[in-house]
Amino acid sequence: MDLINMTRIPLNGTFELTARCNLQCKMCLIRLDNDAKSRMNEKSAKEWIDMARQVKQAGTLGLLLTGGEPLLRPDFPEIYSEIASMGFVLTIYTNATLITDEIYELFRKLPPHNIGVTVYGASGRTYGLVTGSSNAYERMLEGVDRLRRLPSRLTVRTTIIKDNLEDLDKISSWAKGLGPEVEFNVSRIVIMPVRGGIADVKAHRLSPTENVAMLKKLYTERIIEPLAEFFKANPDIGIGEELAEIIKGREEEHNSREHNFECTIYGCEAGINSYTITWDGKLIGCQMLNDCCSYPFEEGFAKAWEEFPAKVKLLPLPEKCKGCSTPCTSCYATRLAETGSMGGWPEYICREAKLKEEMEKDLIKELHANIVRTLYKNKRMPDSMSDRHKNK
Amino acid sequence: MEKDQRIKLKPGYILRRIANSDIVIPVGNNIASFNGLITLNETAAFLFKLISEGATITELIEALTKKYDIDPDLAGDDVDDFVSQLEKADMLMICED
Repeated sequence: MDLINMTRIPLNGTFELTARCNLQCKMCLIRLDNDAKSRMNEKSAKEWIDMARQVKQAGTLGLLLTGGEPLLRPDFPEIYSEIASMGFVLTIYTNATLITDEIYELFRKLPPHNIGVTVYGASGRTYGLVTGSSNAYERMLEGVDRLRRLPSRLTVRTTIIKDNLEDLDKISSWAKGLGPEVEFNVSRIVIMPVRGGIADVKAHRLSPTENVAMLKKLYTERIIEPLAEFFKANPDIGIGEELAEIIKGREEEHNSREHNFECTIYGCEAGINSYTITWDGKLIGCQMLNDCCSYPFEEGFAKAWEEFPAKVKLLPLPEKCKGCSTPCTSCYATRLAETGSMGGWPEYICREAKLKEEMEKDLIKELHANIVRTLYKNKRMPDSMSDRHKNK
Repeated sequence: MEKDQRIKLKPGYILRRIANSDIVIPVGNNIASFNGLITLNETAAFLFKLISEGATITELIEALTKKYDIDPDLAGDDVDDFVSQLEKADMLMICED
């Protein structure tokens, strides 16, 4: 059994250096006003550096520096230059609009292992609509151009709302154009703001139907079409048998997992192997959780981490969720964000999940039909599939 | 590599003990050649610490022989194997002093 699954170690940490941002995205979970009050309650560079030493001592390996926009802090270079040489696997999340000469030089000397750049559109117009700043688009392009020169692993991340839905293809093409080594991720679903975040997400996020239509398009482009192409290009391949083996292997893997003991608080790694320290100094399970906290800057990280689980008071699953087998993104954190209670029923998530389940069933049917058609045509139909086909 | 040549790790490879595992994390521009983690077994971690401070192949073999009470030839094979892996990964430098 994997030792990490058995031991509560703060392996992956997130330092949320600020909740402020130079952009005003309509779907932001975190952003607070960029005012004196938000600035005053932020922890100082010295405090973050000391906290990094403490979390290193406690066993943190992966450390994410994020915000808000972390590069908005004038003291970011001071924080970064100390933390980057401590021996973490370091990740930075940024909108890439503030990659000044100083920041580039800093990253050039001490490149982070991973950089995640959030991209909000494929034009100044869309950036204006989503972030409130049309010239941020050009600055992002310039920033990414610089970040690409670093040896860091680069991931382009995007979140789709009504205002940038039409740009998804263009963003995707642009990200692909950066090279095969650059990963491109689209947020699965947009959740309501947390911890007083001021964005009016509800007015701007996609409806459940729109979100599932977007996912269908992505799945079709990324999975269905490449597979169909693969069958066409490889007429002699006995994919049927291989597919059956893969499915069998997955089932065995799934069944063996059920016998493993996994220790969780929230049903995930939050509070067990991962944590977030918020901009104002609270230790919480993840960036979306705010049900309870401990205070690492006051009592020290080790003590705050140790006492955290005792502070958690979970609520039972909502009645409507009991017995439901539809895979969904509902968890304690998303229920809290969506309904204000960890035990609330997240209607938006539920509706989206039901639609997604139907969409996936249709896509699988389509894929299966595609495989059967190709194998039949190629006279390579395995018995198992042939029988299934005959029964229909 | 000569047996009495003093070798040392290049800067920016940090050995950490996490969850009862010895893990080497490359930082800075070392990630250009290797952006990942190296997990060491007990013997490798022992040698890694010695090389971090600077050591010759002869000293490494002597230290390993003493620590684990093993045959010097076996220790020599282990040291050669480990040092050549570090060399291939471009993690070593020759000490000037």
